[in-house]
Amino acid sequence: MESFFLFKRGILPRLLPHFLGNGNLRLSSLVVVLFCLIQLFGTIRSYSSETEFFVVPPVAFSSDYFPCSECHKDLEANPEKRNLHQHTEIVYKDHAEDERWCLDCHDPADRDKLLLTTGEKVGFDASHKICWQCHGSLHNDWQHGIHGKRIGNWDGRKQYYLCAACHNPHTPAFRPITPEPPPVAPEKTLKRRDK
Amino acid sequence: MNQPFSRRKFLKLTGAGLGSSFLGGCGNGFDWESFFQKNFQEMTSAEKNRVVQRLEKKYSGHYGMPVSVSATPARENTVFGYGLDLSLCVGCRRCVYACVKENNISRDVQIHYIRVVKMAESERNLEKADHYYSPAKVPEHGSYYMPIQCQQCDNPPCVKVCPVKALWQESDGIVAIDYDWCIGCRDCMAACPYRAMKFNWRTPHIPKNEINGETHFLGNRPRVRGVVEKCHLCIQRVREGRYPACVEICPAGARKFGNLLDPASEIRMALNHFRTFKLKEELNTQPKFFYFFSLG
Repeated sequence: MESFFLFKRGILPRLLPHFLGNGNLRLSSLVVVLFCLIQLFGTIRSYSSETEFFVVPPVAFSSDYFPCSECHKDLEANPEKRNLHQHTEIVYKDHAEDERWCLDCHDPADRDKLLLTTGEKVGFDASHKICWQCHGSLHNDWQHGIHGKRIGNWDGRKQYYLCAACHNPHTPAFRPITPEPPPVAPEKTLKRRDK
Repeated sequence: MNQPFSRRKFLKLTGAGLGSSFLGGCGNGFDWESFFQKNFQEMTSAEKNRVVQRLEKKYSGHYGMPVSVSATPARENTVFGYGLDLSLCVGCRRCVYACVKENNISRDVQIHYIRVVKMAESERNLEKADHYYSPAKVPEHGSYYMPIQCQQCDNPPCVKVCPVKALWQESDGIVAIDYDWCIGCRDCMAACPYRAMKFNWRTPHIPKNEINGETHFLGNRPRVRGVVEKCHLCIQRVREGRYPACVEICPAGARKFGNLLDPASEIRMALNHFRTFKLKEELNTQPKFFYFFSLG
């Protein structure tokens, strides 16, 4: 994944047309290629030295709903778009709902699993693998710690929050929260002192 | 010569009398060690240890709970940098109160190290910023939020103006204050263009059950009336390798922290890949606190 990251944003793509357009690789180009490779692997080594981490699982399901197969084992999978009468808490909105519906991520055969486009099944604790099928650049940012939240040690063991810890997968926009109280204005402090 | 009281004897007795009355008058409760305490920068490690032990005893007695004071020095090859993602900040002020709790900041006569200002989406003028917004829910449509705290300048004006060298820059970049050395002149408050310095106009009031017992000499140990204080990047946490309290509380993950000298650190990644700016860069304070935009 690191090499992909470098390839996308690094020095290589900028130089690539230079080699391709020339037809025959000249010696100077070879030197440049070698230089790039050294750069690439040097950087990869420094990235892979990153410290160990473990992930914080997303919000746990209530026992009312999990395991899903308990109810769904007798129900036939219905791929149609409709209002969900049982799962009123699930609103699929503002997330390309015209293109997708439940069974694009949920496995119709095994209801306790999610389904990647490759056909691989993943558990709900690895739901981020579903997300990064489309949100690749955000996943890159998350991997390097510049999107998402981390707690623990800045130079050691740290916890990564998974996508679903902050974003509801069905309505992923960050939900507004209640702010903490504003600071006391100076004029109010003065009034209090006068009393 | 039959003098009953020689001149020499008179002086001896007077001196002894004055000395003993001075010592006796100040003897009960007067702390000679703290009176002669040096500036933290000039202390040897043995002296630091002694001071730290004395302070631990004093604070633990005062608050009725174990309070540890550390004097952990800066790590080598470390310069702390801080990043704030303005694309993600929702203005919820969780950081403000997490900071107050972590750093034993006065509650009554309120002091906040972090100010969160609200600005209209098209506004870039900080004079139009709103400190006192309190809607039911944040973020509001058409606004953005900008937390401001000590920018840990590399060319800090507060350090320049301090007449007693109670303020200095540590080797890991943190601008630190020796609260025992501060004379409360407030020159630093006037010099700081970010309004980061806060002054204890009264004895800080902290409920006893809310004291954070894990403190650092240059950080969150209890302060007294008449000294300045400011954000020190939670020196008691970051020198032990932990994230600052504001980073850990942020529900949007907008706060990034790390070692600027480590090319793989989060802060370096953010600086390399996103649009970044420093607040009031034109003043040449050279902040190590960066604002960036991860989206758009």
